[in-house]
Amino acid sequence: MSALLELRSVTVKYALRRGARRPELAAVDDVSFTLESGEMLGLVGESGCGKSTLGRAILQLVPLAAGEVHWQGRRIDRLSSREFRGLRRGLQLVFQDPHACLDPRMTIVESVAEPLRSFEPGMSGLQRAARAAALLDEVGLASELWDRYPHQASGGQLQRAVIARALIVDPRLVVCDEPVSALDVSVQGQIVNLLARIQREHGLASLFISHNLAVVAGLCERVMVMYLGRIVEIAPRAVLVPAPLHPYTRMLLDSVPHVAPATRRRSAAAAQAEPKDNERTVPAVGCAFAARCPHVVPVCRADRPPLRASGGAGRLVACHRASEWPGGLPPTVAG
Amino acid sequence: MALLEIRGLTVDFDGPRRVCAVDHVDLSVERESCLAIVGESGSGKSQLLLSCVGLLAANGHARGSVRFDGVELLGAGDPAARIRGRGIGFVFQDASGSLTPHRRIGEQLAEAGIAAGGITRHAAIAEAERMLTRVRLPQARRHLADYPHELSGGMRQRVAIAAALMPRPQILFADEPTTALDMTVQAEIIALLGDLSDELGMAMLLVTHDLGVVSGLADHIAVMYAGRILESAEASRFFAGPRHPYSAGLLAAVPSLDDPPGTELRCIAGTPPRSGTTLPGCRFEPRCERAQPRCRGEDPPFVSRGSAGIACHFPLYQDDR
Repeated sequence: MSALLELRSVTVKYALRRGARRPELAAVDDVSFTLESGEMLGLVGESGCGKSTLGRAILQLVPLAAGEVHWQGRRIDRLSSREFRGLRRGLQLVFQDPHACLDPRMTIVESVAEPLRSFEPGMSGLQRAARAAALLDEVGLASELWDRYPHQASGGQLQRAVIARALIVDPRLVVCDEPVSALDVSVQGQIVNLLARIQREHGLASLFISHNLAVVAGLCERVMVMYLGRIVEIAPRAVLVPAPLHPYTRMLLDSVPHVAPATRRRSAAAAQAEPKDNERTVPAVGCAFAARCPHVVPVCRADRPPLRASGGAGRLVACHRASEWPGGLPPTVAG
Repeated sequence: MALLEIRGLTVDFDGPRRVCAVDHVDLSVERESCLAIVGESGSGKSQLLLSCVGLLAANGHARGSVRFDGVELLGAGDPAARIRGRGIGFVFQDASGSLTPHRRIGEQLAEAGIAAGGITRHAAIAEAERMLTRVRLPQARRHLADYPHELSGGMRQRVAIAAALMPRPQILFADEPTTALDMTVQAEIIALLGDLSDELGMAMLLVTHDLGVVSGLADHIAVMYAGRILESAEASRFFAGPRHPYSAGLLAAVPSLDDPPGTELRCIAGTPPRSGTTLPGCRFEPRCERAQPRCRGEDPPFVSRGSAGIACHFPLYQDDR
C-alpha cells in the first residue's frame, strides 16, 4: 500500500540574479518524506528556510529542479497541467493571509462555492450555495456573515471561510501554510482547534507549516524540522520535544517562550551568524547549520551530514554528532 | 515620583467618523523598571506609545497628561521636543524603517549622538563603536562601515537599538521589537533588552501582542483592550494568576510545549471589536465567559489599589492583599 504523498529528493531552485552566469539558491534541497492518509505532519522552520516553497512544490505551483512527487502511488511532477487538474481537487492549500485569498468583489459564500464551478460543473447555483452553507456552518462562521464581503469580516472569520473553501471539494490533503500567524493571539487557538477537529472528522491528511514549534507540536503526531532548505530532523512529537537530537531543533525548542511567574530570562549572547537576508544560501560543502551550531566540529564544515535513522521510533536526523547524545540535547541553561 | 506618568490619556482620530483609539489611560513607569503593555491588534497600544512622543498621524489628537520626569510632553514646545530627542529612545518593529538604507551604520549612529549634543564627531564615532559592542555585535568596528542591507534582520534590530541608545535615554520605548524576527533571534533580542536596561539603569516601555515575549523581562504588565487598560499588575502576580477574564484568556492562549499532544488550545471566543465600536457596558463583555447582565449595561471603571488595578465587575478573584 503506497503512501498518500511521497517526496523523493525534491529540490527547488530559484535564480538569484538574471544573466548568463546566474547564481541559484536551493530553496528546497534534496527533501524526502512520506505522508500517510489521515496523518497530520508538522513542518517547522524559520523564515527563508524553504518551508512554504516545499508546500508549493507539492501542489506543483513551483517547478522542481530535481526529485519526484508521488500522489497515491502515481508520479505527479511530470504531469501536464491538464492532467494534474484532475488530481488537483484532492490537494488543497490554506495560506497565511486570508484577505489575500478571497476575491474582494465576491461575498464570502460566493467565494466558498466558487471551486465547485470548475470541479462540479453539473451542479446548479442553488446546489453550490447549499453546499457552501453547510461547510460554513461546519467551520463555525456565523450565518449573518455569509453574504458579507471580505473587508467586512475579521481575519479569524475569513480564515474560517478559507478553510471551508478548501474543504468544499472534499480533498484528501490540505497544506496549511502558517494558517494562524496573521491572526490575533486570542483567535489563533480557535483556528488551530478547528483544523484539528476537521482533520479528525474528515480523515484528512495535512501538512501543517509553521515557525512556531509549540503550535506544531501540539497539533501533529510527527514533526519535520527544516533549516536552509534541508530537513534536519523528522521524528514523532513524543520523542522530538523531550529529546531533540539535532542542535537546531534544540535551539527552536529553547526559543519557545514560557509564560510562568518564575521565568528567568537568559543573558544575551553575542549576535549569532544567523543567515543574512541576501545570502540565505547553503554552503556548498558541510552542514547548513555549522555556522550557528554550538556543537560544531571540523567534520561538520567538510561533509554534509546525510539524513539517517537514529534512535529508532522512525526518527531521522542529519547531524554528524547525533549518536553522541542518544538521550537528546539538554536545554540551554537559563542564566 | 515615577519617571513617566500617564494620566487620562485619550487619543482620537478624525475621519468620516471619529475613532477613539486610546480611552482615558492611566499608567506609570518607575525608574529603571520595565512596563509591558500587552494587547491585540487594534487595541490602541501602539497609538498610546506614539502619542507620548508626538508621533501621531496628522489626524490624531492626544488629550490628558504625559509627564516625563515632571515635564509635560503633550502639546508642542521646546522642552518637550528636547526630551523626546534625548530622554526617550524609540525602537520600532521593523528595524529597516528606523535606519536609512543609503548611509553607513557608523554615520547614522554618530549622527544620533551628535544630535543629542555635547560631543564631537570623532567622539560620536567612538561612542557608536562602543554602543555596537554593547548590543553584542561582534567585530563592531568592522560593522561601522556596513550599510543596513548588509546585515541580517536580527543584527539590524541590534543596530536600531544601538541608535536609540546613543543619546543615553532614561527610558526606551519599544513597539513590538521582536515581532518581525525569527523565533530564535527573538529570544536573543529580548535577552539583550533585559541586559541593556540593567547595565544602563534604563527604564523600558514595551508594547507587544505576545505575552510569551514579556514574561521574564517586564516588571509590570498592563493589558489593553479596545483602547482601555483592563488590568495592570506586577509581573510576578500577573503570571501567577491574572484577575481579569481577558488576561486569563490571553495567558492560556499562549501555546506551550508542556501541553500533551492533541490538547485543545484554550482560546477566547469571538473576535476583537472593530476600532470605533462603542458599547454601553464592558468592551470585553461580548467575548467574556463570565459576563452578567450588569456587564452589558455598565462600563466597569478602572479601580486601582497600590500598583495593581482592574476594570471588571466580576474579577476571577478578589484582591486579598
